[in-house]
Amino acid sequence: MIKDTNELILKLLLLLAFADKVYMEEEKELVNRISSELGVSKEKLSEVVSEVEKTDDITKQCRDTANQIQDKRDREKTIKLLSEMITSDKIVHKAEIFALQIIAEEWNMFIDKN
Amino acid sequence: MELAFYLEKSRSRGYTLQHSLAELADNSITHDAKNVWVYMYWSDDKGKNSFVMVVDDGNGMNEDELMNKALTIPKKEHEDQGGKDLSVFGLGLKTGSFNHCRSITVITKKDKLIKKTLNLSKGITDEMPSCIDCKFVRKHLKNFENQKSGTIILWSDLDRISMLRPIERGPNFYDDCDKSKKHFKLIYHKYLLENKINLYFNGTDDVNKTKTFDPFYKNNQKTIILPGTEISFLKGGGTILKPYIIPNDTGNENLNLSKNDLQGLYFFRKNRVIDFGGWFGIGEKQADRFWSSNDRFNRLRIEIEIPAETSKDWITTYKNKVNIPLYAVNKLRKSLIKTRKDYLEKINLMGDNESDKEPLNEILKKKNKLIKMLKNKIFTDEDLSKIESSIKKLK
Repeated sequence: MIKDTNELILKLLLLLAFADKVYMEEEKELVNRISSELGVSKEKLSEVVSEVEKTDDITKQCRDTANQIQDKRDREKTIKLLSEMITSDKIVHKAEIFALQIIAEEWNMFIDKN
Repeated sequence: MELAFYLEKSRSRGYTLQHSLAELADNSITHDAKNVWVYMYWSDDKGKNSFVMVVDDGNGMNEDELMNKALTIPKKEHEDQGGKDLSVFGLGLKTGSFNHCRSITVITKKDKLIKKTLNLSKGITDEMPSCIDCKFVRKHLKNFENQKSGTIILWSDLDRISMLRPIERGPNFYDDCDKSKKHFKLIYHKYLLENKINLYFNGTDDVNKTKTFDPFYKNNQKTIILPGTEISFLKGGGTILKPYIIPNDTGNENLNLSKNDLQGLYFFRKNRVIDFGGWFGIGEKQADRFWSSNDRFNRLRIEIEIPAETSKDWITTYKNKVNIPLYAVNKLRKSLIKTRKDYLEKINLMGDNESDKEPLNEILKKKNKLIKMLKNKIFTDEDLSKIESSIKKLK
């Protein structure tokens, strides 16, 4: 069970990366870079990766993980990183956008204008 | 259990999500709600614990109203209560909801707070669905308890929504939400224009509020009102046809419908649009073909109020379709033939004037400029042969 906020941020990034079922090389590079910026050890990172790999419900995990991040600044920082993750492999998948929507919805950061 | 059996049998009535949600909003308006909040929550990949929740601040229900009206099949015909009573058959909550889910939970507050679930397997019970413990629902329940009165309708076990879709269930769920919002802004536009109701989707802020969309552009100075026709029917009741020529430059109306889809008749009942678009199987007398929706008539929209006395003759039981009763067809046809003729005359006249005043686009503007240049110039033979050869080259 992840408790540390930076690890939770990493988990969300990985959930987004796995949303389209393919973990691309560019996505891996981005995760590694952010992981070292956040001060998460390589061992911890591989633990989170294997946890996400085993996930059979991305939507539920996105909601549950997002809910554990409480600080507004952490949320704002994460939203930016998640957007970066979506475009890292230069292809935007509907499943990735949906996962981002779910997370933003949990944080009241999603507006669907009509 | 007899009730559950009957409801199970009547599940496939062709309700789309937006039509079913409109049934719930109709009930809210009937019960004097000023605000209706629609929430659609996709909880997990398969949608197992997903739910749809509609909250209002209307009058709420007491135990008798809940048990003997809302959650049961009425034993006698629904009698119109006048005023804002948008119910036609008294079945909307059940038939509309069960087209999408297996369980309806009603939480209502009038004198006291009452909670009941109507489930297709178990009938009416006190059991609450598992999604009631979801943080999102708990938050709204807490707010609701502080309301003076109102009702929450909670759909759970969304089998038709979650199981019948093979892929991208989550994104499609939210697409449906978007469609419902667009549907609401059209069918309730009179209520929204007059600020009689606020309809919110997935939030309580101003940005979540449904904007109005008046299909007749009544506040637009370029809209032309054609003469109306009053019709009375032998069976009783009457109506007035109010035709409008909408402006030419309305642009994309953002309803996922084309101008052709939106032309024609708009049937209202108590200021709520029941059905709209097209000519509803009417055509020239003794002709085989009905009028189709086409470019020629794409600026003609006609408002018709369904006669209150005979509305059940016009509206299908699932309240999203109008079938014009046979006794009304001829009278309507006669009026529509005249209206369509008036429309074409007006449009042709406008077409002539408009082309005199301003060219339609940039290419036409350039052409006109060129023609004027040529008209005003005295050409030598050499000039003329140059122009001629240039034109030939262009061909």
